[in-house]
Amino acid sequence: MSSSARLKREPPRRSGPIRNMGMAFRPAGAGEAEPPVIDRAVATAYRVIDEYMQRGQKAADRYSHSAEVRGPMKNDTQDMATMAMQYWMSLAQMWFGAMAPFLPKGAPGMPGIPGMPNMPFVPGMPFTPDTGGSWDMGGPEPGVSWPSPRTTSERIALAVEVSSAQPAEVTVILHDPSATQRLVAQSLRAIGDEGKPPLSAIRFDQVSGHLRVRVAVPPDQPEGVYTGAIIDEEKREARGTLQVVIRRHL
Amino acid sequence: MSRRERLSRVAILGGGCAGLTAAFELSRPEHNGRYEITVYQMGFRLGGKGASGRGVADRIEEHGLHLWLGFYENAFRLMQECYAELGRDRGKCPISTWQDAFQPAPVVAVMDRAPGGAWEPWIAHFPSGSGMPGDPLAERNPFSVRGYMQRAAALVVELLRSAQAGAGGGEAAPAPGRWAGMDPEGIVGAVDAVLRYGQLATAAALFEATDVLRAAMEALFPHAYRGDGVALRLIDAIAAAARRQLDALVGGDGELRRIWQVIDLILAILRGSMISGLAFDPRGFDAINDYDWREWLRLHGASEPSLDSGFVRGIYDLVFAFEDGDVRRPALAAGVALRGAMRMFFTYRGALFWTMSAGMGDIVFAPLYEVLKRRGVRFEFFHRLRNVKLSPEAVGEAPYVEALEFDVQAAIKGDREYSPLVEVHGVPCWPAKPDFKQLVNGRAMERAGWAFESPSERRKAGERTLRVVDDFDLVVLGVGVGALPHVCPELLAREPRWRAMVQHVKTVATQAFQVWMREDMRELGWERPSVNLSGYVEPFDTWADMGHLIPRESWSKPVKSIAYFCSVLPGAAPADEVTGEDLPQAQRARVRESAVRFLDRDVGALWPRAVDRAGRFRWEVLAAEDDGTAAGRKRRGEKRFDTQFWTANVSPSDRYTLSLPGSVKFRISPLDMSFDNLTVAGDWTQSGLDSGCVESAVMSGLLAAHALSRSPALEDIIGYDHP
Repeated sequence: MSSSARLKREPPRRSGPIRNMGMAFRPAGAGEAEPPVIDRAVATAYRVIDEYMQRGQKAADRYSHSAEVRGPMKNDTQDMATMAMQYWMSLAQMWFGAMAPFLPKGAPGMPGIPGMPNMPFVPGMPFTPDTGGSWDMGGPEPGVSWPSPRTTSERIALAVEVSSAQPAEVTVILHDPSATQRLVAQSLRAIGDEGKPPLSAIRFDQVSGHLRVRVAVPPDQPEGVYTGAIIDEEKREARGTLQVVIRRHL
Repeated sequence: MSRRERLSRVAILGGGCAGLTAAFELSRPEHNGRYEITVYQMGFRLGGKGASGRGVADRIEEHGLHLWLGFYENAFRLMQECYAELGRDRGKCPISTWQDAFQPAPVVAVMDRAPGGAWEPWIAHFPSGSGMPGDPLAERNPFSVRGYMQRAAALVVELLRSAQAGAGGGEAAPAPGRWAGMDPEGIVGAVDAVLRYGQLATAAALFEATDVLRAAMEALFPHAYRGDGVALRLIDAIAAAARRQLDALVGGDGELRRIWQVIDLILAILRGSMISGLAFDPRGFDAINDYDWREWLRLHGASEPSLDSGFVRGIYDLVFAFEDGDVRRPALAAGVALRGAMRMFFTYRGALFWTMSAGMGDIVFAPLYEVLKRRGVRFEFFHRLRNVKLSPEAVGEAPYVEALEFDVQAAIKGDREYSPLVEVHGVPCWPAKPDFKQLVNGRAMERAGWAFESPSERRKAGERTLRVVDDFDLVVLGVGVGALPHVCPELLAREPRWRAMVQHVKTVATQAFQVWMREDMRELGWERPSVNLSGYVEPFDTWADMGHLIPRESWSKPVKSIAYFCSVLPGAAPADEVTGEDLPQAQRARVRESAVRFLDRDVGALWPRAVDRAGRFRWEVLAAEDDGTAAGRKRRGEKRFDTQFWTANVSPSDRYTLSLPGSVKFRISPLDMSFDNLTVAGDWTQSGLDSGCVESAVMSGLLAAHALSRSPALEDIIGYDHP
């Protein structure tokens, strides 16, 4: 019997439940009245931002050190812009994580951070939310800074091509995808193990109006969970996240 | 038809809850008939561990006691859709809607030892949860650590209020919610002030503290959810005060003592959740699955009286959480228990428990069978799976199932499909015995006592081998985990993770008996509401009053009460050793002996008028259908028990799946790709809930369907994405 004649099962989008993404900070219950602590509790977020700022600074220090070790970059302008975006985004994400429960639902997007209030953000400076709108606790959550693709108004076909000698699971979370965007992905870093080489062969392109992401996994890539941000290159806005789980060979 | 367009033929091995859920999903009209589905089932009925049958006088005979919890969102949604599609005529069938099929059971009891040593029931009436289980949710997955912790903190306030009222309310309780809205600095200041109240020596101070705690959980985000903040200090202080109260109540009022025990346990959960960082851990509650539930609670401050309370023992009883059936070795993964407890108490809808209006087979599996038949699903009964044969090892190619080998236990006359149901009072039901008239040589088989569902029954009418491409494309392996070593040795040999799963995901034998009686519960001495009770003595720790089933049965003389009892079966051989010829019969004899002893010795604490002055059970209350005959009159004393029903669930497929500490991570997900044309389904898989129950099986069936068809979306499986 030829094995090519039989039907094969396609790998699922993911292989397990999400235990923390988006869940940890969700409000207590649908339609449940929340206590009127929201505007004052924003102050709580200010207190944690200092800590986050320090973390961001440490991360930047680490990166600049590693950049020195690696030598000059191939494309200074793009890499510097991407690097700046990455750290700005990381910082904003952390801050956003603290603020998420207090954000107004449907607030216009902050540049670079979909779902954030549309006002200038200066790290370290006080942030005054627009209290003119109605407030509830339904904002996005830290860990899932990007609303689910299901919430977007535009639907676009997304093709994922994976070239890998090992079993690999790819998760793409995109906010407001469009066929006209020029997307790039950061190098994907291994969660919990900075010693593993990043995954950098990630390419976005358009094919017949469809968005395609191609992931090439080197044959000797260690198993692990690799993650990074997806950037709209033109608008310099973060558009989502890309995660690749590499497992040992069967 | 091109290969790309041709049907996918799916072989579902085992017609239990998970397998039939997968069949229900894959046969949905939305798939446009893309899947040609056949369910292969040993013996004559569907249902697996949930199978039931109609015996003498159409009495319902179950594997055990089946209660549905009000958080079984996926299982109830399946039932809602099934009954809606079934469209039974209410004038002809008394169980035509899901609301007919399930009844709320809001009264729950646990047995506890009073300080004097006597057993006393603690009865709780749980209020209706808003909405109905299975109805659409306002949010897709409204579950969060934060939400649970806030509700737990609020519950402490309410329990404290109850305790204060029960104690006479010597001091006026402060108005609740006065701290709500306080800014974080104010809350911190309030905590400091509360902690200075002489270590919460007064009830008013304690009440104040819990109210501040509730406010802190809401306002001090995210600090309150980390194990180093003011909320933790406050919890520690409240817990210390609660334990002082508990110590003072050792010989006191039982109701008050229990309230303090629950407060103590909730505070341990809050404290443990913070210390363990559950709100931020990417593993969610799985992060604590290597701990035993009681061990984890103890680690976070729960007192020994609280850990030994009926409330905790009842949780272990509910999920048969005793390794090897040894009640001295309770073992339950803490994360699974915490998830289950949070879902059970904080997300139930309608009622905390639901009972079925007839047998589980009649309520769940007959409707599913009828709907699936209408959709074109085929059922091959009397197919005992013998071996799942794998492809030869090949470099660069994932292994796949090459053949399925069955013993055909019986051939059907006229080459037709076996028709399995009987009608009882207008309700399609499963019989307790096969319809031998439909079988080739059926009369001879009946005379020779062929037991098609027994693991020791090896007789067969023939053999059958299905081959990939020729006969099937995809496989849903829906047999019990205990059966895997017997039917999947090649899969276990090929894949180390499967071997680890079989080694670590253990099962336990269970036992159950049912009695029908000529006196009602009040006459027997149970003066309280109809109840489901657990936490009682072994060998039968759980009892349910099932009197609501009387109208569904056909007794020639009135039966006035029905009682089901169940528990683990200690000392039964491990699943992979159940091959002996007489073992099931020997275990049945043990169950009979235990049941007789239980009735004669222990049931008096529940039903004081069911026993005589010497405390011995009045056997004459048991109802037998042949009471009016000479044979019936001969059955006196404990021999009357032989007219009742009891079962020893020792066969590999019948054993209950445990969630032992350290074992959950070894479960295999239906989404796993180890074998590229096979997925798994059952409550033993990584279902998200990871416990032995209907909901877990249904979730697993949904995941198996997703693995084959990408539908339903994982986000639509309620509670799959959950801390």
